[in-house]
Amino acid sequence: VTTYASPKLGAYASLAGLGLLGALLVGRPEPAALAAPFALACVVGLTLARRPRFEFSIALDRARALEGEEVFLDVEIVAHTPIAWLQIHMPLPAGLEVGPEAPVLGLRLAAGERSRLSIPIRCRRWGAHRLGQAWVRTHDALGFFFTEGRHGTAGPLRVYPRPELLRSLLRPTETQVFAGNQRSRRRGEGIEFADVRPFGPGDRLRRVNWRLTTRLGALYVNDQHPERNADVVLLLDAFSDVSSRTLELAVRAVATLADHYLRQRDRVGLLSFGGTLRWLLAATGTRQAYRIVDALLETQIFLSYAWKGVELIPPRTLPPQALVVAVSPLLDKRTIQALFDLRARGFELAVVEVSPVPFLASSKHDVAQLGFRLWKLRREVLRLRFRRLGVPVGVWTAGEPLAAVVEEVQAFRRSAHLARV
Amino acid sequence: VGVAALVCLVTGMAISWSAGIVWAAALLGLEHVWGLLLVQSALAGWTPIVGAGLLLMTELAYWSLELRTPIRDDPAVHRQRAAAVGGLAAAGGVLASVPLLAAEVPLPGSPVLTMVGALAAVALLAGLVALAPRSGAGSAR
Repeated sequence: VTTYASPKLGAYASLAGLGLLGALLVGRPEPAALAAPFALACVVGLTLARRPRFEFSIALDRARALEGEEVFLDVEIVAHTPIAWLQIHMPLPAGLEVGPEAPVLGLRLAAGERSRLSIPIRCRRWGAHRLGQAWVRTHDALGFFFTEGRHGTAGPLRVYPRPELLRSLLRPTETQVFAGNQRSRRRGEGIEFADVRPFGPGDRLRRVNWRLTTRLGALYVNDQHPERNADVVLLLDAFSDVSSRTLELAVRAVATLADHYLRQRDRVGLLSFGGTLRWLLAATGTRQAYRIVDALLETQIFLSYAWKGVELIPPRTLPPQALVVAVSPLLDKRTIQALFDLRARGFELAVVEVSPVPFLASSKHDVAQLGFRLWKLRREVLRLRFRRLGVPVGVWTAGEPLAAVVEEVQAFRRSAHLARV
Repeated sequence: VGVAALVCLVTGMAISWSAGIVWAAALLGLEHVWGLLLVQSALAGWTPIVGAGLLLMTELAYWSLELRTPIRDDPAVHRQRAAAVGGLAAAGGVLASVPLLAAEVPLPGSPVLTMVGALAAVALLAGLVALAPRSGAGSAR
């Protein structure tokens, strides 16, 4: 805590001195009379000045919240000496803001008085936010001295991205061996009918298709598609961010996809491909959901000029026959090349492109507009290159539902299957 | 001089330049004394009120600078401050009349008495300076 004297103190002392000396110079009492109130103010201010003593504590009412929700920062002050004017300022990190109905944060406290405040904080953006300490400033009764200092410490606040609504998910072509909600292409025991085939040793009698058996005079059994889980790896492009918005949208998309896949009992892994490479091995369950969201909260852009390719990705993070869903603004060449390499290695790949176009500054200059059009054409060519490789690219623009993009990607994959047949 | 004082005050308030407030008070005080010296009129009787008014003006101006924060204050804070400022200005006005009354006392002027007055002024300023550190000005804990 630091105590400061207001510039007023020096100013009043100067005025008082000036008046007294002026009285001596001109030989009249009036300048001294003018100086007297200022001298009195200095004497009273200095006499009444006391170092304020108080206890200050802050705490959040909860440590986790969803985007758009409000949390409350509870402040408690116990004054041991009278405090004429105490002001509280809570510096908030980007993504948090004080709610519209902010309480009174300038208080007057008597000795021994206890005051409790509740400051509403709106969680505007996901992230792991550290609130830090509050700035507290006290003034004496006449404003001659004030103290400033940091007090209290609030714990970290984790704001989770609000998931988008999805009606369906991208279905992987290949499934794994564990039970799940994805219809496998293989035949076996399941619910959905697949085909009929002649009875073989080991087949159960209850699988016999009696209608076909009586018509053909030989035993035939029904085959079904078993329900299996799938491995999905969500690849988040953390190389580039436009206006601090594309990464925000990308994280929201990844969190949404992870949440929905995990609800379907699929194994979900995370690969944050950027200045620092971070990954989570594919796993299933609620714990994995929290792991993924916590990892996403730490995602940020680390500027790096080092070339990074798929060879840096640990092999275990990309299980065989996994569906890789890349969420990227498709701006960084390293990410684009890594996606092409993944496809070349046989991974099933789908790209959700977070469109950077709405966040770009527009220019009225002809040359700039021409350049912008050329840049958009090059991006369209890039999408075509992906599609020729059988990689669907869905463009997600801010404000549009993610479900539409997922449907678009799924439709492309259905068409690709038909074309292959 | 009055216009210059007004300019200083307005500028000080507009750009949060606290020295402008002091300059405004000094110039207004100078104008009052100048008027007394030139006209020798009955303005002298108004001096305590002018002194109290100058103190009130500077106090209100400094207070308005302190209020330029986005923090919403309890009205009780401002009520107390207003009472304190008002009381101080009133007491200052009463105190300002003391030198004028003392000047009415018929005392023979002498260089010694002038020296005593100068010493008293210096002692007052020294006392203010001595009081300031005791109150913790500029110290850090």
